[in-house]
Amino acid sequence: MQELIPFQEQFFEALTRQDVQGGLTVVQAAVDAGFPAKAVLLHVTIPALDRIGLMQANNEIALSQVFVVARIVDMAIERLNRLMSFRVITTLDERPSLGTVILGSAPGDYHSLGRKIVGTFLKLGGFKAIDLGINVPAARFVDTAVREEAKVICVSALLLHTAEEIKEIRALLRERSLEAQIKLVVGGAVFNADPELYRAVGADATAVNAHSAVTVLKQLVGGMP
Amino acid sequence: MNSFERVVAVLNHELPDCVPAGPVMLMQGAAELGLSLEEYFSRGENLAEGQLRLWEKFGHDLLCGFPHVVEDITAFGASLMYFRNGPPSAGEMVIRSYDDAFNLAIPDPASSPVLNETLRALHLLAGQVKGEVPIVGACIAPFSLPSMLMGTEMWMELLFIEEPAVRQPVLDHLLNVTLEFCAAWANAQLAAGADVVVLADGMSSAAVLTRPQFMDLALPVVRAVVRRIDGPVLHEGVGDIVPMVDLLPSTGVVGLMLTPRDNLSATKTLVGQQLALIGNLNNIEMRRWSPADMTRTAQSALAQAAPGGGFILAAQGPEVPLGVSDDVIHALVHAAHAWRY
Repeated sequence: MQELIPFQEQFFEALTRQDVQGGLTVVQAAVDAGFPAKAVLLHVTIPALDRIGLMQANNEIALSQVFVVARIVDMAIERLNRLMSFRVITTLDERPSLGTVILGSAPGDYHSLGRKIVGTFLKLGGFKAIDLGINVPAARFVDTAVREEAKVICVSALLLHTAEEIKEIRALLRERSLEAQIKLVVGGAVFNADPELYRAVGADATAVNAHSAVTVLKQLVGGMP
Repeated sequence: MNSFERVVAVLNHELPDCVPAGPVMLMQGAAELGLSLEEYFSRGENLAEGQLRLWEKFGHDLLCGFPHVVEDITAFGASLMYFRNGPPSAGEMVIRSYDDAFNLAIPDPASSPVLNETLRALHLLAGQVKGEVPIVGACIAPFSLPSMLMGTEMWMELLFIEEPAVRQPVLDHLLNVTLEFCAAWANAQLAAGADVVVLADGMSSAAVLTRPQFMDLALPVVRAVVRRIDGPVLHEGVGDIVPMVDLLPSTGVVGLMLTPRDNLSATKTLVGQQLALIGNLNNIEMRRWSPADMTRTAQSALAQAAPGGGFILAAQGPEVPLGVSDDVIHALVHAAHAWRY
């Protein structure tokens, strides 16, 4: 889809300018030019978000900027979804879904910003992300993962004492003999402060930011790097 | 020099006898008194007694007269949720809509029974050790307090997504409320016995804001509130502050609390003659350090920031977590005091 590259460039520029209306205007312009919404999603929004993700990985972009980018992308997805009458973004993707991921904040943790940004990146990365919200009890993580046949549980924690509650999720996975089919990934400021902490709470892996979360999950579920 | 003289020398850019040690221990006093964290945090007598016992045990150079900064939200009517092994969280968001924000009144710090216990703790500490060891108070900085009242997501939505016509009136009102409250609360703590106040400004680091955003949004608020506080103020950015650190001397703060993400040498070069530096040992990793690990890491920090004075060796904010052994805390204090001038 070479014809969409100029739109991708314009969308990326709007993201870097934190221009909400500008970003939505580019998406609408691509649709108005006759491109299918699915193509706009695949060749405009996803590559632009990938580029922002790389900037985040290189510490070239602040949290406030990633927040705005994620919000613009969410709005763009909503607009494209409406055009295609689909609700779940991964069903639009030409690529096979990489699987279902259960996302939530650790028991006792009421912070949501980072988790929501990760959810946006995971959805556009090819995963079906089910976000359970804040202060999610361990059993709800595991029960939902079983019911939805999820491959990964992703838990966000900002604070040390809420990170330690993640051990309960590991204990439940072990108790129910689910460790082989459901992986446990954690993230949040406290894990970035101590790269070894994820092991101490029983997680299989950690991700330092939203972009890294997509890479880590793809590796864990055996998808492409 | 006693601890008070040692820290005052650092803040005045004079050479102390040795590097002061400032491990921020907000929860450890509970164990000293055999209390739960909720019991400990809930009474000023407990806080003061806990700090004094910790001082006797470790011989460090800063006592904290506050339990945690989350308590500030109680003045706005919020409740606290206590945990077995960590600081409390906000029980609920006080602000759920922009209308709520626009109607928010400036609370009197004395209206909160929780904050009154902190004032009681400061008063008791001042009665016992004023002039011997500095007593530290703390407030959530005005630019960061809205994230505790409405949630970080709504705060960022207002700052960075909302249309200017909607944003500006709400922002102006909200920051006026938080600034007035913060100044009054800081001054109440100083009047009760605090020698210095920390402004915990978790939304004001390079991890969250770009430099232009910091200059536009946060810096004027820091400058305005410091001007209103009748005593020395330390700034804690809770994240990488180096990209904007050159801007901070103009605010009137006397020192910066740094995190391990902040390069001590670079920060020292940029502002070392203007601001005291406090930090920057990794408080999360510290849980699995041996005393030898602490000594090695502390000596590295000292080599970067202690020459010429202006440095207090400390853990990063907000505090040394539970689970860090006494031996490791002793090693921190010993490493600092072993650095003689």
